[in-house]
Amino acid sequence: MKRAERRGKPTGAAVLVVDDEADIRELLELTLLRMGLAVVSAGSVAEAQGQLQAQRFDLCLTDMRLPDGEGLDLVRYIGEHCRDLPVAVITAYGSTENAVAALKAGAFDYLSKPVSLEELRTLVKSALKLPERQSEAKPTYQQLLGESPAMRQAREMIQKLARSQAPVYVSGESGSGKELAARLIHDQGARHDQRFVPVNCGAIPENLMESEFFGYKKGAFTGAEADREGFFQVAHGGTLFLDEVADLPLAMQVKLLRAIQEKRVRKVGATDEDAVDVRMICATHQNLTALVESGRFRQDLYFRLNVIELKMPSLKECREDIHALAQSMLERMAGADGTALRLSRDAQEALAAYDFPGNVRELENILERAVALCGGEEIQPGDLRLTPARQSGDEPNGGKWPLQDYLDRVERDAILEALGMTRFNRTAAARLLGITFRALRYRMERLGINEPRS
Amino acid sequence: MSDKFIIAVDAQIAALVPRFLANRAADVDKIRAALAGADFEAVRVVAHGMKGSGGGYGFPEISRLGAAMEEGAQRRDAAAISALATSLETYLENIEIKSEDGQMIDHRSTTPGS
Repeated sequence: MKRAERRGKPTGAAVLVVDDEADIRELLELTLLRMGLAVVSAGSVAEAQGQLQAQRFDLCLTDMRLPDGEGLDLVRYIGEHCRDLPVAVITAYGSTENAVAALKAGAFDYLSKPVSLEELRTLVKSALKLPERQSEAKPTYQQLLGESPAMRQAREMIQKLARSQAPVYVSGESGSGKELAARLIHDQGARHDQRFVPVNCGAIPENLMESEFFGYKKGAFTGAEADREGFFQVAHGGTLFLDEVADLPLAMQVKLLRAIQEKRVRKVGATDEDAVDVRMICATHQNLTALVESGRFRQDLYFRLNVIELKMPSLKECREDIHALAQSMLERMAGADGTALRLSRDAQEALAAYDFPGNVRELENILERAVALCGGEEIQPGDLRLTPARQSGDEPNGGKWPLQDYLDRVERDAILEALGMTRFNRTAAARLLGITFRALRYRMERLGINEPRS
Repeated sequence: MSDKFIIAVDAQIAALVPRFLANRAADVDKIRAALAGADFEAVRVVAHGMKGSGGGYGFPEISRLGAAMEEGAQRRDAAAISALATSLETYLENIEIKSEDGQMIDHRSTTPGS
């Protein structure tokens, strides 16, 4: 490229472009330069690694197929050596597997070939808008409280997910804070100044689903007196959170899959499609894997939605947090004079021993009721009205049901043991476990296991 | 064929378009040379590059022809590739480029390069 063409005022943000085809590299370079960015190019994985060692970048854009390796190798290299650097991959058209593999390996987003310059500009803008990494020591947001290892892991995972555009599947029991987690991912990510649109899929009548999701044109059906936007159009640029996604009927699952794949939706009664740019987060308290196996949830949609799983811990797994959580809730419920009720020692013990099948939401309900019932300044065990816990050993089946939870625990124990023995050397731990490094990384991510900070 | 195709290109990258098109004209020659030597792998590589880049520059037709030639190379179908190369040549000869802001761009006097 001629020097004279390098116009635009660099903002200081630097982008590394990795592609071995000169025509595409130049196209990307000039587009980025015109956005006022500084651009450095590399034609191979090795060259890119050299550039990454030589200087600091704010974004990396890499082709999937390079002469000396795969774009995925570079994504993994960046994950290991430049953790804060967002990386996006360019994949061949229609190659969903590659796109999903890249997101799983830690890519922030992907572009399909032929590259649309509009999509490229949107992606770059959102990548460079990512908020600075939060200081890790203390949570700056108060909504997900607790210092138990399980809760800290969930919070750290949320921070990581906020920096990506990958679809997220939030699993966890009822009341464990799945929607809150989705909101935090949105609020801490690049889309924070756009809409977060929560949808309870179980609450929409089947015959209205299509028009609710995709909108409708005036006159599309009786009663359609004006054009109306659907959830996808409203969430354009932001995040669409599908709660209770397992409740979607199969016919709707097909339409949703298409919308996600094509990034386009058609209003009911319309001839044209609208392009939509939406980050998908979904959740259900049901076991989605089992639903896929029984044919009630489409496998292709499952793979599209469940690129990365975030497991929200049950309150039982964060027992040590119960007291602090209860205190903070009571402060929020303080009366007009600002004085909050306290828990008596007996009430504290009763809460600590309780199982909370309804998790944090149940704790909140219990405390609201107790505040209403309590006559004095201290809440007594009687005010809590706890349902009697199961006698001795709260897991009559030895904790083997639900099977997935049991297997996750076994997997987590084995991985933690191997990591402990190898002082968190993941390569050595993977060897000990007899799995690949990549498989270990994936499993750790899935189970929310993070390296302890020294 | 006397009908001209008028293509509007993204103003931000308009400066790159003449050389991009000159490179594609050079690709036609490369493909014909490769076909003469029955080197279908060389055809496939050139066609694959065309498929990936055409749409980005605002020429989906070039991506379409590239994809078809790539398939032709996989089938070792010399006749189909030859016909597609001719279509590409005709297409390149008959396009007029204007920038999105309406300015016509002369792309005929540019030589290939990278």
